[in-house]
Amino acid sequence: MIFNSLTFLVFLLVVWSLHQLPISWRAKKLNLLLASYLFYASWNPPFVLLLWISTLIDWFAARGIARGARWRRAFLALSLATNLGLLGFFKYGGFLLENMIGLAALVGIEYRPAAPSIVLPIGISFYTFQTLSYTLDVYRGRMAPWHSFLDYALYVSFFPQLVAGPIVRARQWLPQCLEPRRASPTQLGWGLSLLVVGLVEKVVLADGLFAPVADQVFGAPLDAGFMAAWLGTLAFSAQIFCDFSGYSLCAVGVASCLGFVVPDNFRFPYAAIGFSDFWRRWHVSLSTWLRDYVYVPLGGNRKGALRTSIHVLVTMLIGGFWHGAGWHFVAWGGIHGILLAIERPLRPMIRRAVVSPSPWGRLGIGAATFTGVCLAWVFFRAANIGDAMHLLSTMLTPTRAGSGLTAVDTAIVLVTISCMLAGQWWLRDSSLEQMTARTPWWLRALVLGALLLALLLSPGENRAFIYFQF
Amino acid sequence: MLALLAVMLATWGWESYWRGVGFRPDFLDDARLWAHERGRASSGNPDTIILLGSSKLQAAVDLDVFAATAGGAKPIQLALTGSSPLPILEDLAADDRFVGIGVAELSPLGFFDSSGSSEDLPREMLAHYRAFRAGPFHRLEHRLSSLVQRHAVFRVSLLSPRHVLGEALRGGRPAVNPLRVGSDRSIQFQFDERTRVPAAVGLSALGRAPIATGAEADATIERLSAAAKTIRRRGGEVALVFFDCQGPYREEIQGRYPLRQYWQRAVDHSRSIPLDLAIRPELQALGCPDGVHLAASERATFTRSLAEMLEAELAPRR
Repeated sequence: MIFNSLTFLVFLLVVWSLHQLPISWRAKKLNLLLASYLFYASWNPPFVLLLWISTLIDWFAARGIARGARWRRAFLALSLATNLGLLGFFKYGGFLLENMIGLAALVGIEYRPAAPSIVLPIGISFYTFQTLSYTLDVYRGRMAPWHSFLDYALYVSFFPQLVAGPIVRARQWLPQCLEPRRASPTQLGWGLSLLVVGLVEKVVLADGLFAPVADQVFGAPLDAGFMAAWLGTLAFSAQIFCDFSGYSLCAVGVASCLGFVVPDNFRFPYAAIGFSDFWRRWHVSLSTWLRDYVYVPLGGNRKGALRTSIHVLVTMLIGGFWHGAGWHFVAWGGIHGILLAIERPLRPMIRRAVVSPSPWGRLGIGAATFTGVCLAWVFFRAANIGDAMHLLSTMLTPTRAGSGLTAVDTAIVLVTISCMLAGQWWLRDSSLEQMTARTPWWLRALVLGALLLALLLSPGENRAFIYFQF
Repeated sequence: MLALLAVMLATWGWESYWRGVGFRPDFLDDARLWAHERGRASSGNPDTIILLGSSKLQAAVDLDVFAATAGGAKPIQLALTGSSPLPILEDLAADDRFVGIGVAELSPLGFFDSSGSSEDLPREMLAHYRAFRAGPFHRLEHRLSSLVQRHAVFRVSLLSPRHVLGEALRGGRPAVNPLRVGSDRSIQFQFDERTRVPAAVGLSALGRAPIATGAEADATIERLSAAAKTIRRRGGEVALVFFDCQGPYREEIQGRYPLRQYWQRAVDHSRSIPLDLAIRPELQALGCPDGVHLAASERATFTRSLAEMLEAELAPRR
């Protein structure tokens, strides 16, 4: 069941209606929990077992960790082994096997095992990281194990953010379960508005506008000329932002309709000034997770400049690998790690540009950041490193070859991307809520109406959210 | 509430306008519809007939006429534009619940395309089918989605904001699509004097296609044979359909892919049921306005011939 489906609308209506009934808060939480399991089971019923395993193991592991010093590490190891083991098997099993076969071939050993048929459980990368953050926070003394298993199980499986984030921290989310949550009319209106905006980003922009262009170029990378390579890359940059930020907005909106607060995951990332700034704005829940549970434990910036750069690179390599079982994802993460490491000595210059009254410095660094991010996306989207390198070299070799797209399609894509970038720059120090609060009610209604109309008129191509493959 | 009211009025206006232009409700031939139909193939029913191939077969067969001629249920249409039937045939062979008859169009352009690109779309559809198996929620989604598509012109893909804007920037508006998609994935090309028929669709595709020869062609025939053997072992059958519209495309294709080398070898090696529709007298002058796809008016004749030929071949085997 995906957000942009009629079934989900029916599902949400039923769940929301049940949530309004005059029943106990405990009964409502149970209702949400069952609805969340049903939501997950709609993808593939047996995989609910994996969700239960992760939930149960980490519930008991956290209690074991809190019980005393003697078994703390053992329980933490249990939690890590279970979650990373599930992730490793289901997500990376095939990849590891492929690479073992390749390595064996390099040393002259012919190794041909039966091809594994492992189906990737949807959302596994998200909920395993979410439950791990709970046990790690208990281990580090940042929170005590939660007293209610019902609340905890709901935290792990809450359907708005179960399959593609945001990755929510237990100490932010669980306290919301203490008191009955019910959306006020304002919250409900805001939630529904976010749902509409998110769906427009996903269906109208990502799927309808940018994906066909990106697919055309990345589907035949050896045929792409200079213009086509740039257009395809720009289109993919816009597609992945609209797809993922659209999903996150839907998650925040649906949670809001039920009275819960889920943090924003995107803060106008293409208006970033510098790569550190980019990672404070893009997939914020993942980047903060990696910072808190990988970068800081490695030593962070406390061990000198060289070690800091290494910690950054390792963290970003892990981040890349988290996105997919492929060396091109690792390369993407590595590129960001290198860019962040290179940026460190340039930070004073970036800070000066940010505070300077002249906008040119900010614009220049912003444009350089966006270009670097786009070039890195080539590795993310390409089928393999070879294709990525070919496209990259094409992008860096100006020719007069046409784009292969019609002039109208090219114009529509470029104008839409330009408007998106301009909008992000305009709002970079603000938020959607602040912008909405400043907008007159009739203009809000007009915009929302136009967005809803665009959504209704877009038949969609039934593409699953890009991040569902993680 | 104001926004909602405005949207309802605007949608009603949009719907009325485009119905006035001549648009009618149409189905989106997307991965969801394909997955739904693929799910129906795994019924365990030996009388299930699956149609595989490219848009040629998708346009040529009227599923209702087929059912009326052959008796029994409507076939399931799994053909995909520009695609080889092989990946889906292999998927059916690997599916223990498929015990029916696979009718595969042996169009050399898709089947013997050495670039492999004719297998991309089938693999994408199969990946979607496996990821979103037709469970109760998907069946519900299919029902709800079909209900809207059956009645609403505003959901026609040519009327999406992107297409309308694109046409407006070119100084025009979307033209009524001569291609109509049914809820059973059958397609009809309703060419008339207003239709902008793309010239020589097949010839231009043929010109670009790298042809598999030698070991490559052998490997393809070997895959076909393996799939057919597995299906037959379970009590099913595989039939290979060969047909082309009269004209330059047919001449060109038979020149590039000699029948003895490709079609006959595939039939003989795989021991599939041969359905060479080119020999049927009533089909000698098939009307294909774009050189490749049968016009809707010709479908009934073609379908009856196909169904009769298949029944004649199956009868002694039953």
